[in-house]
Amino acid sequence: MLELVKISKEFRTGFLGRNVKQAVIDASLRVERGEIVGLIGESGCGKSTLGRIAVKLLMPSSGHIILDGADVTDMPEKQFREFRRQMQIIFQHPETALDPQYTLIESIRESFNKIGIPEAEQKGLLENISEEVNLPLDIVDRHPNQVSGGEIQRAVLTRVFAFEPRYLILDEPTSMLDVSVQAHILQLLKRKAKQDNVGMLFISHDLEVIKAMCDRVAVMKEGKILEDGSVKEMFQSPKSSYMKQLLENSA
Amino acid sequence: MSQGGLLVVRGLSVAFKTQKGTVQAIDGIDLDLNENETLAIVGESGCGKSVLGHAIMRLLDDIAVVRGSVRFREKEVYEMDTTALLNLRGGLISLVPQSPSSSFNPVITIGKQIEELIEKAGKEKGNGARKRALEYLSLAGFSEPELIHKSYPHRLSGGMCERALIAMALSVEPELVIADEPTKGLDALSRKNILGLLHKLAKDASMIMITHDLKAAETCERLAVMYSGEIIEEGPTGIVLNHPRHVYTKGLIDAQPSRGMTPIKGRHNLFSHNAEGCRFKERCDAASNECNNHPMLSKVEDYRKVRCCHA
Repeated sequence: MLELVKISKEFRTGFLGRNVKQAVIDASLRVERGEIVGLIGESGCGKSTLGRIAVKLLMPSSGHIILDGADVTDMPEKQFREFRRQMQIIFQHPETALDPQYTLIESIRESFNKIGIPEAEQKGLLENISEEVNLPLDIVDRHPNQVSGGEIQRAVLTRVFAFEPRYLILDEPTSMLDVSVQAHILQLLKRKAKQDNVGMLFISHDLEVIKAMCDRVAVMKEGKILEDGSVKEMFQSPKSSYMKQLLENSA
Repeated sequence: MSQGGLLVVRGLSVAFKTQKGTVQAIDGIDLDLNENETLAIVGESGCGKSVLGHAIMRLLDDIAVVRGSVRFREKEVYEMDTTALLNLRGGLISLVPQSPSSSFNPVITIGKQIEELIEKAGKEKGNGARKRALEYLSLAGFSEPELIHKSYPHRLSGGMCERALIAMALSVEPELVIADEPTKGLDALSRKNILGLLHKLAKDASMIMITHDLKAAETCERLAVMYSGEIIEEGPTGIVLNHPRHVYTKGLIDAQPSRGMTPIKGRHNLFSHNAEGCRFKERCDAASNECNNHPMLSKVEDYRKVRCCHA
């Protein structure tokens, strides 16, 4: 289980850091393996910040990140490295997700090498995963600007799946994609969660995507998690007035 | 087919010459738009919908080879001289471009940019232009229009920039608004606001909304679906979305998360233009020998056209 316990994060800006912005306030959330948890809220509510904190790309100002029972919050980087492999993050903008100077295959090989997969096994692994994520192998010699957003997202998934992660943080993974490409990728993620028992935190502002994908949902506003519950509860009988408002507006 | 409509497009084709050969972006587009009518053009990335929007305003640069005719108020856009063209763009036809945050000039305040357009379009001058800019900013839902007026674009969020762009495009009271992906990347609340705003401010104008979002398209009266540079289905929005006749339109509808997220098989081949016959046939379950002949966009019911031999 990936647990975020009473996470707060403040950003300081301006002269001598005098402007304090509370991006996340006392947010607690847990993701079981094999479960997809949605995190919704409008732009600027702190949902991406919380997602980055979950994989320690950002350090929380206070609170704890607990991964399968181990508190990794203040763990030194060297020790944490093993845990990081188990939690991977996928970002919203496919066009900036990969190094523009690398071809897709170079980016994929880079992460294979990081994992320590021997050269001889890489080809087989690439074939396996690319079939799983539906990445056509005839395009992997191209640079990111020569392929579509959906194809980059598949290359990113190939890299990520090679780590055999237990948890995935998905930060608006399909909001820039066409609806039929989105359907492909979402189906693929859903299957991955159930088949390989991967816990996912799915960050999105698209209620329909959340409803179709998730088992549980948490709703966030101005840095706070207002409520969470099963998809059914949240969509049929939300308690917070904000969730009700979101539902009305998406109808 | 109404003669003397506001906009009449006939056989419009655009090809781009690239190092790797010619790419046909749009091919043989026919389109009619009446006064006060709203039309949504939907399709996936690379289908040519934005190129179509730009071609109508003659905004494409020299590497584009344009054939066919675009008539606005019975005047041929591709035969206009510079003066007439400048009067057309930003005066009679306004574009709300894609990617709001990068569409404004980053080193000039929002207000100055709106005023510049109002003055260039010859609507108002000096203080009058300022007044009108403020008026449209407040119509666009800004509670403090003065603050937005003197802000630089980087201080505004994506949704705010989009609203400011709409205010700018509508401030010249155009006869036709072309909105290119007005809801891309916005959350549900902002999307609803933006669509409401567009329809409110453009209520005396015609509108072409270019989008890949079927939800946004629902707010328009008529719908044209594009695939591989062609219109493949066209008709009243409600009828097309509730009873699609083309397999691709059905596929788009079923791919929506609320409709079961069924992906369309295969992938969108950007070069399928060169293929013979129906451009969708490789992805279509109903494909047969007949599909090797290129289908025409033909009338199936009143007000309704489909490009498929099985429809």
